[in-house]
Amino acid sequence: MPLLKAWSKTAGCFAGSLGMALLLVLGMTRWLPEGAGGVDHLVLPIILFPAVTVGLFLATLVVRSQRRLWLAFAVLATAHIALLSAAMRP
Amino acid sequence: MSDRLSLRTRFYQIHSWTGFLLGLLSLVVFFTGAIAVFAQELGAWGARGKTQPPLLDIRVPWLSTMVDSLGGQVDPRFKDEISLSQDAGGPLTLFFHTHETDVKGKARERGVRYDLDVRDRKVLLRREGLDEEVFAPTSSSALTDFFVDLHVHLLIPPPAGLYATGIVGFGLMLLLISGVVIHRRFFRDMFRFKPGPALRLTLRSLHTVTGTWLLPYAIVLSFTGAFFGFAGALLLPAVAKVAFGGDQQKMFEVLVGHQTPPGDRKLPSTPDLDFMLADARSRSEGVFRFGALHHWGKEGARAELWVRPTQRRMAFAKFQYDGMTGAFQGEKPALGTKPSLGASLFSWMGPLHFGDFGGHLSKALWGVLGIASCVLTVSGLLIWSERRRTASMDGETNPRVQGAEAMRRITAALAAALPAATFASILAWATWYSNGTDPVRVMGTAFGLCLLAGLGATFFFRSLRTAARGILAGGGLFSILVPFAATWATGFSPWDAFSAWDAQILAMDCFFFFLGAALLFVPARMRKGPSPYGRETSKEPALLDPVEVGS
Repeated sequence: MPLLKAWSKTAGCFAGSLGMALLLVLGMTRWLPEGAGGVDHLVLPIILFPAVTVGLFLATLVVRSQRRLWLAFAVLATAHIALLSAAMRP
Repeated sequence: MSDRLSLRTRFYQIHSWTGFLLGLLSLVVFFTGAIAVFAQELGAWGARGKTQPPLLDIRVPWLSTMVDSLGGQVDPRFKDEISLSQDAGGPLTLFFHTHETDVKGKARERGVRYDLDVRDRKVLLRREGLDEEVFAPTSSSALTDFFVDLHVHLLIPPPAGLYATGIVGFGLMLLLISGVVIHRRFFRDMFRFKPGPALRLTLRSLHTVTGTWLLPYAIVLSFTGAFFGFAGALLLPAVAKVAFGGDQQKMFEVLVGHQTPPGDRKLPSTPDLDFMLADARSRSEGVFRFGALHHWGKEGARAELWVRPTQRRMAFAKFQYDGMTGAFQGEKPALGTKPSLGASLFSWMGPLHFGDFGGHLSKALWGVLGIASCVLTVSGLLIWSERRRTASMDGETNPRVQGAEAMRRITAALAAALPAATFASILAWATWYSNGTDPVRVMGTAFGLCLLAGLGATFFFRSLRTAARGILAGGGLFSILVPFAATWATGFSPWDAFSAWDAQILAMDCFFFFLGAALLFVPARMRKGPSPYGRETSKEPALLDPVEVGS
């Protein structure tokens, strides 16, 4: 049972990190500068996605204060959801 | 101190369990990736006798006339864009098409594809329909398509296959970071490979040394692999949804940097494409790869020619020409209207992943490093299974020991069967070369069956060594048969290649033959040579001592 619990927790951490990274990179398209070519805000988030996902996942596994970490995730997620919903409003 | 130790223990667990979960998949991805690096060369080898010269190596004064002539035979809406492409040794492919979106808003192309013989302007193939239909593999492109598809999708239907390879990229990044943290004597052990009578020490030393040397390569491959796994299937549609209301076509227009809206007025004549290709040749030493003619024959037309990277430049060169006058308009960034950080990073992703940034030399290096990554993966998996086997002292009935033994056998089966499966799929291609059956499907079946046979053999024979010996010998036999099968299928023998002085075909035929002989020789050596375990018994001893588990 402890092994099953550890596996479930790790799988949850990965799914949470993947979802959080997706939110962050989509939010980035709203606040990153367009750059000289007018594409940086679209391309850089996609390029950074693997690094962001792995960084967040490692943080969930290594950071001792899980409560603070998930609180930080919640604040970031709320901010980006607000940003995206404002952008997608017709 | 205890905090540092605890952190290291956590990273050790991350390394160990990520390796266990993704190790086998990584082995397949690394091996198929090492082959996919040479997919273009394999395609050119498969063309045997019908090899076409690169478009930039010869003059094709009839090209503009041919484009105009074929353009007159297709639906006018398909002349929105004409793409030109040529794989190594393959024909020139023209695709007259228009862009449309499906009911889900996904961008797609519909049009007519022509394959042309660049020497005698003969039309070799005509297909009409959606892009996925017209670019379905043919007998001549099957070798290239199969090995690229195998690496990218692992024979899993899209987009799940892409996600699987993307997850492997993530896993590799985790393994690299955790490996760096847990291995403290990092640079000291770079030159300390210690083969010895004890296989357990050899394996551990091999894993450390290969891991250290492969670190820069693995960082690049894992990052770019994860990027390619998720960029097209997940992130681009999501970005289109957020930034363009789901209109992927509009997003692509912004990304490729459309400058001039097309006019409706038809031009009396079109500029000379051969002149543009000659101009592109004078500006770059690379090989022509791709071209796009936008709104050809109309006001506002433009041509883009992409040239492969060479030793002097990392990424593709994209030259733009005025489609009304043929005048050179400059070198353009891969994305957007002006050079930018995003466009530069994007243009490096492909060459860094495929290893074609420095011609054949960098490709050969990428292939060798890909095989070395297989060694790293196999040694890591064997270390994992041996630790589990030796950690439980209550014998074969313990599920942990049984699981570890199964993992050891599956690892050995995959490592030995992957070369055999590769050669079996090439034999399947040769057998179905002139048959109407989809060659890629047959090749995939042969590949999968060969892997299954390998797995079955390792569980059928009690001695893992006997099973591995048989699988390797089978792979060697398949490899020796490959040049003969290709000769039988295409009618072009190694002697013909020698007479025509086609060095590439001759070299690859010799490679298959001698590699096969070597694979037959390795099992013989395994039988004659001393056993790393001492005298071979039905129950082979563990690779690692129980003492080491706690260290």
